Amino acid sequence: MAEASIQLRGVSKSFGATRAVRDLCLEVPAGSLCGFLGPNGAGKTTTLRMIMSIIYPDQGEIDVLGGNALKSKDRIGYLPEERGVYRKMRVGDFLHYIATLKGVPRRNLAAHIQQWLERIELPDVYRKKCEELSKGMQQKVQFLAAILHDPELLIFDEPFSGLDPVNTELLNRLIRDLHSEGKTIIFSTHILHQAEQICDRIFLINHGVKLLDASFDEIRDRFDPRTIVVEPLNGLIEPHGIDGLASVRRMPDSPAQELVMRPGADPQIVMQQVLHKHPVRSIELRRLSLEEVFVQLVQQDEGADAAEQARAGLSHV
Amino acid sequence: MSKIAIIAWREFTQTVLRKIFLLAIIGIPVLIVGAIVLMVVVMAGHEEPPLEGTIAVVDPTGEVIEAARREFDPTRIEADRQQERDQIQQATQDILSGGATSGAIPGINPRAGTFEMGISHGRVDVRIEAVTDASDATVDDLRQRVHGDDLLAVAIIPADVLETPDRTSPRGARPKFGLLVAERLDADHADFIERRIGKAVVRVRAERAGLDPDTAMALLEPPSSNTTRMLANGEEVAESTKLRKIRSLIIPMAFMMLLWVAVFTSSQHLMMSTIEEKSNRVMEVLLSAVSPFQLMAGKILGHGFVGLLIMSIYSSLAVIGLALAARMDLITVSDLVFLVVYFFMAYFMIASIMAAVGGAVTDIREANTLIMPVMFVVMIPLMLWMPISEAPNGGLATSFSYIPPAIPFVMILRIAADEPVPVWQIPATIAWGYACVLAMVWMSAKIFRVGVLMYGKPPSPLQLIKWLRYA
Repeated sequence: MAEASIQLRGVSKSFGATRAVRDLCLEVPAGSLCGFLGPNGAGKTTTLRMIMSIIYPDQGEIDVLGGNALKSKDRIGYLPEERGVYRKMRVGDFLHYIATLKGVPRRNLAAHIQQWLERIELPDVYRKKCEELSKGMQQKVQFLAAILHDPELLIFDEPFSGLDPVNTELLNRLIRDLHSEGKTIIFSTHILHQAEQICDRIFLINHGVKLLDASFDEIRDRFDPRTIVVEPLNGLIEPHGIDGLASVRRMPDSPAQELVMRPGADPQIVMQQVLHKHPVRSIELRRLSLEEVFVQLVQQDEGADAAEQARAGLSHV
Repeated sequence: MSKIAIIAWREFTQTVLRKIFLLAIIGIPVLIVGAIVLMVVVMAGHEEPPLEGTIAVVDPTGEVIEAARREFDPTRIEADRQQERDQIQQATQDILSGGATSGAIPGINPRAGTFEMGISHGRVDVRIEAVTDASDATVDDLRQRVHGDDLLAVAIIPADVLETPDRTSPRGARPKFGLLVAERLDADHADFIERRIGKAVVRVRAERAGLDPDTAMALLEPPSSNTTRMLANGEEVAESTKLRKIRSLIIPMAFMMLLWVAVFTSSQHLMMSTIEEKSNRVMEVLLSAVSPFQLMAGKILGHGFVGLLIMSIYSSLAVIGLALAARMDLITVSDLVFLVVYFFMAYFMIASIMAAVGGAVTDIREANTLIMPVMFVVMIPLMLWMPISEAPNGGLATSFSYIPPAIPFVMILRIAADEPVPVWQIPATIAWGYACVLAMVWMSAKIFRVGVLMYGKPPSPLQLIKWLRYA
């Protein structure tokens, strides 16, 4: 494995009686694009803040770029969860200020900023006051503030929250571009399918405890899909007579049904049998979503009630 | 450029280049001067209404009636008024020229700066109606005539008021005379009539004692002195007591106010900008680039320059004003040097408090409750400026010279006062004051560090102390 950009060893943090993070171990390989996932209140922001040395862990060790984040502030780009700009400052001045604080030389900085503003599709805002921008625009400006100094390690806390689909896609593309330039990126989100689209590695946490730490391929291998979704032309699918089928569930608010396979059954054979017996409008092998992986993990760990709670915590914004 | 300098520069330019700041810094002195000018113009243009009509004097002896006629004689009134005007003019001349010419600018006549208090008194045309019958029926009748606007006033003189008063009895218990005045009579006129009738009574008393009334009144007027102050270096300087009052009270007050205004305006800006960064959540972006201490240091420095700018503007205005009035002798260069030395002390003390408070709270209302006790300590020199500048080396002044954050304010009062402060106390207070500054900045940095990322319930002063112990 490549050298780690970030390493957490046995990190714990409590706020009063609340244990935000418990005995967390993480390793972010250099050059990877990691998703840091979990429902609201799982401890993501706390962990990222500890990585940034904004707050300190009660226990454990954190190693960032071979030291602590304070020493390499200029090599790290951080987009905090709490978004903010100086309302009365001009966008260009604001970015200029943050960039110089991050150690970017002043020469050509204005042109550099303008180039980036064009890249995020805000070409005319340089001289506008921050308060004149919409929330989404401000968020993109903040994103720029985090990356203008060309850091090697990027940490984004909920970078997509509050963005419309067009801007989400734009940001998605930017993050992928930055990744292909060789930057190490870790971003948190409570919307798991956003991570599915771009990450090559996933950390899942819930209630401050790590549930999963794996690459995407490992996840696919581990969580073999066991469900076929069928929409019959008429009537219901009869499980009798189809080998390898364990049960049939009707899906709420839809004519489709879920066919759950027995362990070891070959999905291809089962699907062929279904098609043979019933005319269908559609049939597909469901790919296990991260959300289901997450719910399964919580279920194994803490039982069904906790799983339901965790599912609710993964609100779809 | 270091990060602290970048932050300081942004804080300075973002504060100073705002329209509202320019408006305030130029507007406030303009407003003050404008208000004074307006007041003088209004006073000068104000014309008292004439006092015309009849005053009935009820006096069975008839002596007061006679004296009252003389007191209300227009030529006598004019003579008295002239004398008052002369006194006022003398006083203003004393203040502006002070007999000293050392700082005078050639070509400018200090006397040209004097102005006459231009209160133009209204014309007085009063007839005295003699009433020697003091019976209730007569007084009732006169009362009716006051109601009917036939009389301006009725003065009722009892016999005992004419006797030489017993000065050992309390003032309130001594005999009085009665005065009935019409509703339409304004208070100044009522006051005028009371004084004139009173003088008539004094006149009668003098006559009864066998004295000539005019001589007696002249005898009672205390002479003023030619005061010469003998300085320690052997020099002798003429002065007037009024001038001395100014030098020992007004100048220290001016120095302290200058310090106060500059320190509070700038540290208030510091607090507001910290609260702004917290409430609009820029704080975390900044903290991903700089440490909390760098941020606080940059902010404190930046706003320090704002304060220094404010103080320079106001003090240059004051110096120009003094030069124009040819009263540069009222201040010394060392006063100005100490002003800067104590400005930094005062500013760093107040600014570190403001930064800590700004870092600890989320909005301005929460800040106010935390600032209250601090404000109280700093208000002390404002409240005590009289006793402190009258006795700049007294126990009160000396003890407050060692209590932060009052140190710089009290010291500037004492230094600008006339009496020299014992030489050792100046370095002592400077050393002690800057030691306090270090301690306060250190504590403030601790609170700031913990507070800047805390949101929600504002901390109590007790919690703030707890934060000091955090790593």
